[in-house]
Amino acid sequence: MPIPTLPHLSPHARGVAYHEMRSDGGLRPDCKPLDAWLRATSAEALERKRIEAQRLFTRRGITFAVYGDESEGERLIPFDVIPRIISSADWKLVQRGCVQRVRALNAFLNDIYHDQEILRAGVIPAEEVLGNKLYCAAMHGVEVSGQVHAHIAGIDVICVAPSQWYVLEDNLRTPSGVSYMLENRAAMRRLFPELFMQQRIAAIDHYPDLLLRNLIHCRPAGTETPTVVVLSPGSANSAYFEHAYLAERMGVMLVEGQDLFVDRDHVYAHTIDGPCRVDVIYRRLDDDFLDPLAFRSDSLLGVPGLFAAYRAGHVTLANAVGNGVADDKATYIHVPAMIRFYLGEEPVLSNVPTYKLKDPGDRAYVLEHLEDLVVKEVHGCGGYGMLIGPTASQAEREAYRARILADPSDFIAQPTLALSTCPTFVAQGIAPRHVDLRPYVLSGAQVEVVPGALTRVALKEGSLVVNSSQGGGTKDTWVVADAS
Amino acid sequence: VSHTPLLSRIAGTCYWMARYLERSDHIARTVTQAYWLSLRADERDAPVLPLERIASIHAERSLIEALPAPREPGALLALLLVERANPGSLWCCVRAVRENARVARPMLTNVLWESINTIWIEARGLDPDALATRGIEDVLTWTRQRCQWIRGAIDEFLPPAVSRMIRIGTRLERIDNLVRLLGLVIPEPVHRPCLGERLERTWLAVVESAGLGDWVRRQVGCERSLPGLVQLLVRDREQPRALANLSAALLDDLEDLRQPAVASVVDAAELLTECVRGVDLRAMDAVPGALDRMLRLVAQCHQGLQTGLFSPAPSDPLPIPDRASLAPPAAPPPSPAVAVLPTGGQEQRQGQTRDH
Repeated sequence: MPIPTLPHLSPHARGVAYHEMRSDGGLRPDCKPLDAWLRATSAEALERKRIEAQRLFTRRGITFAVYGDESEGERLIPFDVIPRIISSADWKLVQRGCVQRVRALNAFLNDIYHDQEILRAGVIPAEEVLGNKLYCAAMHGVEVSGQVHAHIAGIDVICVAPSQWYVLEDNLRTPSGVSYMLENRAAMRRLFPELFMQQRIAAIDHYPDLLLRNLIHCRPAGTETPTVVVLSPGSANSAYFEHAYLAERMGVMLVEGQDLFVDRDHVYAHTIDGPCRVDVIYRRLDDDFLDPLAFRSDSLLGVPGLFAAYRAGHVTLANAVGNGVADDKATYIHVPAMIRFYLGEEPVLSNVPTYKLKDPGDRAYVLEHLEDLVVKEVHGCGGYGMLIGPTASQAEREAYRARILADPSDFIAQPTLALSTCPTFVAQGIAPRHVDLRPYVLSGAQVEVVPGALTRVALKEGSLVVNSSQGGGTKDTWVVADAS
Repeated sequence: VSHTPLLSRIAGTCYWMARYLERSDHIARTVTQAYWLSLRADERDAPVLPLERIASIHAERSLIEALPAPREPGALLALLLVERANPGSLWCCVRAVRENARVARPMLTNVLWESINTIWIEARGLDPDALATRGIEDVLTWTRQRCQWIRGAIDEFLPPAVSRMIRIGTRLERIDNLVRLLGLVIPEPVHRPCLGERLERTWLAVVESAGLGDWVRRQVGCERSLPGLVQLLVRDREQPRALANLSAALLDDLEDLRQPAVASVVDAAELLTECVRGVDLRAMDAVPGALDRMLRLVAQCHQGLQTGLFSPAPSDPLPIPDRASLAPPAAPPPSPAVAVLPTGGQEQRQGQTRDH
């Protein structure tokens, strides 16, 4: 059955997407300096800056690897030199909404691995949580430091109209991209210092300091001067640049599984001065690979015995194990209810209306309207494995239909969203392109967000896919003080 | 306040980064000299081309033998400089510098990392066509300049443990390269105080290959006799790249580690120092044997570091080497055992988990 119609979620809304620099037909006041600058800057000058930015990113090694594309090796994420401007009022809304959401998600994770009050209250059907393949039974009863499970969360939000933001997805496992947020800012500061002088752009450079402070806060009890490390799968991982970047900026060791060992439920790193006790691990490794004794036995990336040390409370893992159950697309539907249940508040940010295909009514509607909808795998990520109905061919839709029918519970569907657009410098000149936004929410002593985020932009005209693995690019995101 | 501890694995990565950097520079210097010699009409009739001799250090025998006969300088240059299948080629060495630096990135300075990464960006397109377009000398000069540039970026802001690993790698590689280079020419010398014209050319090429050309030119009265040049390369007190000074400095760095796990390495380095000091330059027949022993001690240092310090899980300290087994052979072998330089360091591993 159709979900309630929202004005900006019409099936073919792409053609009428909200242009973020405009409000009620006019130019937003806080965008005037950027607009004036764009009018005064030639396409040739922008192209020179684009090339300069590309050189800068190349020299600094700001690259990522695309899986299944061995020939390409490392790639640059395309960077757009035109920044995205978010008003401080809008930012406050997004910030408040993201913080609220992460507080609720942390409470949810702590609850489902302990008393399961939300399930007993019938707010969320128990089978949807306990039967979820990402629910980690081994985490039941595990006390995590500060009851923080999602130390670092990436909340994907979209804007569809002035000050109307929706949450598209929560990322509570190993959200990536924050290094691009920081490097984009560094590049813009270098390329266009005059713009920074003209406006009051909120600073984001302190993100690594906040991250380290939060990680230290969540150290195991009784640890005075904790050793924090970043655990990476290794230099072949697509996000290795980010792992190295964060370790370098925090001044901590970047370790791989082979560098760590567990002795009597304590974790140590092999250093040239002998074993070094490790207290906090910011891991960028999926749960499955963390510990071959507890999870996938064929993992060469993990640390045997790590989960036992974790259960014993001798090491903090950030993010915690078992977070996947809270950020998959089936659980996403219930986040507003979580907010009401745990916080007693109304959600600041709405969810995108979502069809659950395991529900026969929703399924029938979706199968009839595949050409209008976006269908996603419940456990999917990175823009892989989804169907964008309006742009898919008939054959692609039919193939997807067969997949849905084979296992409907693996899918959800949403209306094709009218992602807002921002001016973007492309081959044809400056043109509107669809964008989303990923603020990074840090939890520790408190839940906080630096005033900025990663803006991902779909560089192809009309495309709604912003993922870097599929041709998306990034922009610097400026939270600016109101012009008044 | 204390420095971030240095992981054993990253110590190895820094060591390999330094070795490959030194090797890149060394390849550029030696190939430059061999290339110049190969352009001389009076060198072309030599039974083995100078480039082929250099290739015996930097390429597996099978790769050399796979080249069409007679081996042309162009094919040897391509093998030494840009052949992707040859782990000892300049291209592979520069890539290895960068890959090891990428892994050790959080422990390096931004300037050092960006210098190394920039060089790789410039080098990655090198192929036979690029060699032809740019010209051999341009590529080799560029390499030497870039290596100096990186050395300049290895500054005092690196963590002391990282600096030490870089020094150890550089010195061990420098010793290894020089001993192998000497091994190529030592079998040839005739025992006379003054060199013949061709032999003098060869030895001056060795001096240039060791990076000492400028040094020699600035020495007033530097004796261009064979013992004089060997003295310069092996035991000159003033010359920092002389084997004696390199091995003494290496020993200092290893002792500074104060690691029981590398006691065997310190011991091997001590023996190396003694060996260098003990070379009797008046008895040139004994030099090949001494070089052979030096190579074995270098290999022992290297192996001891690999297993005692760089391995993620160092086992028990290595046994102290049996001095008797490292004693000079009773009779000098006919020529030093020159084998291809070791390779190692960063390799691709399982790493295919996804961030979101």
